[in-house]
Amino acid sequence: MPLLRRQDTRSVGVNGGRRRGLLAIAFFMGLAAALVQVLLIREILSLCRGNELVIGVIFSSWFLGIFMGARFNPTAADADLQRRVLFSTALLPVLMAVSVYGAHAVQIIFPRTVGTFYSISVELLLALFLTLPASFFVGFFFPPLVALVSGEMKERSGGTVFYVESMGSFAGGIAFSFVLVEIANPCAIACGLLCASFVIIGALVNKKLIPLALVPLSLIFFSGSIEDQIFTRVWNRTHAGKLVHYQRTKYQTVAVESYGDTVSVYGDGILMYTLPDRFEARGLFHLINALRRDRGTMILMGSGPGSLLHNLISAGIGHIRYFEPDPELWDAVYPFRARLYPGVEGERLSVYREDLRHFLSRSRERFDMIVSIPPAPENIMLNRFYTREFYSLCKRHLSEQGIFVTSLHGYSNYLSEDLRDFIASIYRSFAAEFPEHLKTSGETMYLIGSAAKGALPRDVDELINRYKAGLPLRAGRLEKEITQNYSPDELRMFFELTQIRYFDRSMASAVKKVDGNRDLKPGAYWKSIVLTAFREQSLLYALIRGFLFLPALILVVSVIVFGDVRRRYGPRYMAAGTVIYCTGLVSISAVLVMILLYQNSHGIVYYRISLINALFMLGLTVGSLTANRTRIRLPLILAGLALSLGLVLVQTVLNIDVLFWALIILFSFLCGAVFPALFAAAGSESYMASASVLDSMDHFGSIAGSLLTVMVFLPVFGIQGTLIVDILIVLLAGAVGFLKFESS
Amino acid sequence: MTRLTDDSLHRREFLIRGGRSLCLLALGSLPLDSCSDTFCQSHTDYYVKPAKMWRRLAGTAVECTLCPNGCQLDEGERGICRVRKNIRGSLFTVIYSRIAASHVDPIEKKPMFHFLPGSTAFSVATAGCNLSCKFCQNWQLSQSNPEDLDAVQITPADLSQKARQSGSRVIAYTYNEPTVQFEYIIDASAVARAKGIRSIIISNGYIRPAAGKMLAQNLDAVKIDLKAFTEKFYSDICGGRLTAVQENLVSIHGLGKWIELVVLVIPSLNDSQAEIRKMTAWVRTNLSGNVPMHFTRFHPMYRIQNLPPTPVSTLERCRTIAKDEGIRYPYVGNVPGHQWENTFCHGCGAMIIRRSGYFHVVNSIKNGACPSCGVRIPGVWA
Ligand code: SF4
Repeated sequence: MPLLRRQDTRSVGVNGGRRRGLLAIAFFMGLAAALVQVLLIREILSLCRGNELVIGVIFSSWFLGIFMGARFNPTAADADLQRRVLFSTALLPVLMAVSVYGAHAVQIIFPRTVGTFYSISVELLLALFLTLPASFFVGFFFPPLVALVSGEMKERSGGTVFYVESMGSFAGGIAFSFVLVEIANPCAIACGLLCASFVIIGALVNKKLIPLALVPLSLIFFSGSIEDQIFTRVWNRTHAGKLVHYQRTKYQTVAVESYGDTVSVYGDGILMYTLPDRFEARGLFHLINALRRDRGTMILMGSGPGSLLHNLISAGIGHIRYFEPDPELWDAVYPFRARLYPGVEGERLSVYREDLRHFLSRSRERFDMIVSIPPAPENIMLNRFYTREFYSLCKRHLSEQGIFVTSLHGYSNYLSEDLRDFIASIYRSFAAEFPEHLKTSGETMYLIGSAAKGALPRDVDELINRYKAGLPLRAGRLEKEITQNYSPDELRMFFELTQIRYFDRSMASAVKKVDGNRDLKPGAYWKSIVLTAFREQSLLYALIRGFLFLPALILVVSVIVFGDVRRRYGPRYMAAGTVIYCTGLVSISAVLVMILLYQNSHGIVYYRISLINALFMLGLTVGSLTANRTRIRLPLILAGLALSLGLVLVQTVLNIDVLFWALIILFSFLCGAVFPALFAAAGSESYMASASVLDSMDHFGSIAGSLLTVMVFLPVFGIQGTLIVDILIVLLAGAVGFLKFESS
Repeated sequence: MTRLTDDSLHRREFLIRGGRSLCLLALGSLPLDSCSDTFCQSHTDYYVKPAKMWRRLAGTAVECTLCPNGCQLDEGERGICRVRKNIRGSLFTVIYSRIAASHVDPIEKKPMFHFLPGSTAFSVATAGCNLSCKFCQNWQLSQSNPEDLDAVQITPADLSQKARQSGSRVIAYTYNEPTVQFEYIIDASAVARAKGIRSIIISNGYIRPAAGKMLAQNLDAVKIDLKAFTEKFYSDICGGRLTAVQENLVSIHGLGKWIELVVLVIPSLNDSQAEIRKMTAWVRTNLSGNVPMHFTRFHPMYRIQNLPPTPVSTLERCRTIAKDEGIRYPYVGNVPGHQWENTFCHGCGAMIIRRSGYFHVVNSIKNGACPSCGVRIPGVWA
């Protein structure tokens, strides 16, 4: 993450009102930037199937935009400086709205076949282009504002502007994470910011402009219907059905669409389930019935509140705990569900509005059956329902004869290498926890495990016999009312002999060469992305398969850039650039790792990204301030940085909430301290040269770090491996720093 | 500027050259084209056989005349289907007997409801397809190059033997498009017929009529996916032409082969009442009201991942329209347990085959006739 620090803040003379106005702009821009970033992440995640690859690209294009904006802004006449600052201040809220709603408009400008996604490569490009305009102006305003404030204060005041801007970012992150995410839509936020920008500009330039703020202010009251109109029109033009309800929850954007006599529920633009689903649920419902004949207690997650839940309750399962982490999703679907499945509520159903893993890790209860039907592990949040740790957690909560059922993306007749590896990584984790298991064939596979010997049938014939033996218990009601025309022979569709044999043959070798899917090495997540890229025959697939390409490209570009710095500024600056490049790379890499760690332990992370960012900014500011005043030595800071990464490594095992937040602050504090220390160590005979080199290399490192982390480090080394690589990079930076700036 | 040695490179130049080499190395690692002549040469004995349907163009170029795509290929190029290649001025198939998937499936899974109900089909597939439907269920096979798939050689003679060993009375060329296995199917179906094993294809029907007639000579039944009834759908979603499929359907029906049609009904793309009415009217007029039509349910698949499954009521409506238009055996498909997966006699309306999924089939037809009213039921029953 860029560690943009400006130096030398000794105050000489002050023009109070104007200076405060300029600093208010700095604060405002920090706050607006934090909001734009987090809103763009949400909107782009909705457009781009929301995985961490996209988050990495958003971060790198964010830094690229800031970098370009700052570069694009050469020194100018004073009048121009002010105009640029004011222009950026008014423009940023507008760009926020344009980019956020542009993510929707893209679907009309570049139409795609209904029901398809853009290819993953196109999605990454969209993420890049949607992020660049706003981030460009976040970078663009900074140099002229520094110049203006410096003029006012008769001093070099980059540091002051930076601190104030960082405090704005911190405030923005906190405001979004705790308040705005629940109550405001992007249109309202953009209007609010525009209103604030008019007030600040008016106060600074001409008070007569202040009433202009009333225009965006009044728009806030219409923002709900403006957004409704945009959302509904775009949806209805790009989807099969008509949008009947949408809601931005703090976890995702929920949309409910009606088509014919069905309603479909989408989370962040991805189809989750369709109601009614009586024929889809039929097979699994009877499979569950065949596996357990008694009235036990059961956990159900991920099926949606449709026919499976309805049938199980109607069939007299003892007690069901249904998990839906997004409470507002449940509320949004409830009216439709209540119409389609009247009367299912009752004593035998408890709805839990929380993450299942979170619940299980706190609970001591045991269950007769746990049924987990998560969406594909296309991001880390979902991947955690396919890991060995999750399977182990479920096993620990099974009763003596308890049975665990989970689903995964299966196959149609043939397993390509990518699909085989993807399934193998999950299957390996599952089989390690449940050596006694059954698996089904088909497009959706079910893995069925039990810790108890003999709890599972040996084969499909025994399963059918169990089912038949249990029939009298259900008094024919299942047959006549719940699912019509059912024959237990339908169970054979789950266990097609040649398909299962083929699967076993394929897995025998695949599980040996593929690592199991783990919380800290989320192999299935990455393989799922590879599979998607393969399915779409996208350029990304070629990039992934030739995975040397990206590191080699980054290495080559880095060599060229470092060579250029050396040629233009000499070896001392190149060394300084190397240190800050490494720090920038490691800082963003660690932030991404922290986001993943948070997801692993808490589930949906979106609304906390802004908090993580805010704390990071706070740490950077405090670190920078402290280093500025105390002149801590560079190698010491880098050693501390390596140590803090070591502590993050420990946190991956301990998983303590307080430690997590403390480490973010510690780590960012140390990152923040690098720049001033390096600035001092490198010597500042030319203030502009130092600042320019360090600033550029810092951003460049961040861009490289975000891309390398999501495309190479995490897939290849996992979370802990990435941290170890980060530590090694910091040590390398430390060595360079020591040899170049300390040993002499 | 520091020199490495007297006649060595400047450091800067060294770095640039090093960078370039690294780039090339990295680019070399990109799997940009995994198809090479080496593949074909090293597999000549097994899988590469001269193609039957093609003609020479100027120089070493050729035109494939097997399917309506009519690929014109320069030396070394492959057709759209990925499995027919111009090698030194002649067209070859590169998948002869190169079987990537084989399973034993109930015939109802194809779906074929009027062809030996309750029997199993030894089902085989290779790589390749001449269309590129965005909803393909078997895209891992159909949209792959043959050399990217694991495969085994199953000669025509072996195929019949394997079918027999598996207890199957039928061999089905399925999963990927059988048209592209043209030479293999012609040979293998002839061997199978000699051994008393039936052969069927599960096809998109995208083949030129002349080739279709040759392919069908030893086949016993053909299931064709009529994917929609608009040229727009065929060109936008599948990369083909509706008229070509219609022509071929008429041609194969003229040969007296048993045909069943499957229409995968996809929400908003091909499910309008008008389209279904036009389609079913065309089938009754140009083929026959006795051709069973299966209106099957779409589930998110391949590139169309974000579209809900077809409402069951839509399928029921398609079935009703088909009935109105004179189709005697319209079915609702991919909906296990639905009452209209059963077969009802067109004479008296009695249920003559009860199905629940594709493993539970209770066939009451006696000697090809309805046990209640005695009317002959169209199909192949023994
Ligand atoms: S069979 Fe293949 S090569 Fe021949 S025309 Fe069709 S797509 Fe082209």
